[in-house]
Amino acid sequence: MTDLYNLMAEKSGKSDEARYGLSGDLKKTQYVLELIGSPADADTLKCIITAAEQGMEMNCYSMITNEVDNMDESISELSPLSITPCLKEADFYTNGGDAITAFIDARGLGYALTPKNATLAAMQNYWVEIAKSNIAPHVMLIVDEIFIKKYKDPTYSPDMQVVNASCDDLNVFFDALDQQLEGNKYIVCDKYTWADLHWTAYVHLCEIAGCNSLIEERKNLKKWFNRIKVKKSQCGQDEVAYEMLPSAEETQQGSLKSVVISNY
Amino acid sequence: MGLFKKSKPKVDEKPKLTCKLDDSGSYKCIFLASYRKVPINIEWAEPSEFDDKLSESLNFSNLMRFPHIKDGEFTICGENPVLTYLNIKGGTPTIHPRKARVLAMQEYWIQVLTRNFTPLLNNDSKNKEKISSILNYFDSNLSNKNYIVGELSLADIHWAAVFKLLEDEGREEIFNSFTNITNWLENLKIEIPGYEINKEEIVA
Repeated sequence: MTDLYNLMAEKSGKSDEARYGLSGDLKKTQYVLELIGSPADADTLKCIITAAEQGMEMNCYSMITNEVDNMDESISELSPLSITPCLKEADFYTNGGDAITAFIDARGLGYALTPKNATLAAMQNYWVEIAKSNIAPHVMLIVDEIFIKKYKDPTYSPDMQVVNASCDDLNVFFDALDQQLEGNKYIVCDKYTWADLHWTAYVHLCEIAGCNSLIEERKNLKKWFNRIKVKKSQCGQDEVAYEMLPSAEETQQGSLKSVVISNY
Repeated sequence: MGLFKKSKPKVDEKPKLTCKLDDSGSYKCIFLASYRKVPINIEWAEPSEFDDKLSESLNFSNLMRFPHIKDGEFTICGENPVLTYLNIKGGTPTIHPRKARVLAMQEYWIQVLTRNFTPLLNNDSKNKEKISSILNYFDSNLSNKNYIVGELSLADIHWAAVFKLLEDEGREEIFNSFTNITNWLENLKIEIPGYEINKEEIVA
């Protein structure tokens, strides 16, 4: 089997010696996490936020800028149904946003993100389900126009009718979130949960795609998002998870930053 | 005083789970509650009756999320929120793998079901090959195993509910040629008391 992770690490310019952990200088008990994903993919962003929140360093390889020959075939060797993003930890491989985020959350250094209280946990997943079922399809249409089609054809001009219609469709859900955040620090309670993590990925993609009005026009949502942008990681390290996400410029280029925890 | 006072009739405090016919999410919640022995009253109703207080207050009148649970003042709708609630309520241990790798495999197989397999079950003949390919992969994963990830997990509950719905619809030929799948399902039918919930009784 092709070691796609090694090939992509080489392509990303990270020689074996430079890659975190491979010289034996592990900062904590963890193995090296390696992620293959895309900067315009919400699931990839969720994996990056989870790793940063839980204090897990992760080498990230982009399927755009670190693309290798026969990548689709190599991905299907790693992931039989071609589900991405893909994660490797030592001899363990798993694929898909839900599996990877659950794995990192359980392996990480911080407290688990799901509240112990049944009512709060159910409410958390109510908002996660809204994000996945109602927000994701519209955000996908937006990022497809603004970023993904340009990866294949740099001269592509986005169809703004599609983008504007998707923004219109998102209004009702962003209104609801704005209402939910009235008097709340985070979406379901005063603690950061999976609901915040999922919504951060989608709201970030909307912002870097230029749909700022969805955020700017909503007082509570704007405050919450500003809070997320400076929130220190919940595992106690002096890191801001949001800063590990690719910027608008990096997303346009198709590049991903690795998750680096500097203050062990 | 009050020694012989007639006591108030006991209020039924069991959570009420309102389910929808032909909905695998409703079966998932029934299976989980029955396996974890969470006492619930089950009702079957039309979708229009499903909006919960939270959705109503947020003006989400057409979310069409099933099933719906009411426990005292608390109400919520949607398969994942309700499953989460039922997995924490009650006195028995939650179904939650402790090892990170097992947990990841649970989530992986739930994702394969919800994103890759279930959308293909729409009677479109073009999907036959893809369905077979996913079931082949699923069947090989079940080789020499009683459960999908080695221990009973939410992945078993999710997949079993979809197969139960296929059985209700008389479409078991989709999966019944796969030996490991049928063995695994027979085993689950014994372990999950709610599996044998009868469609005729539901309709009645």
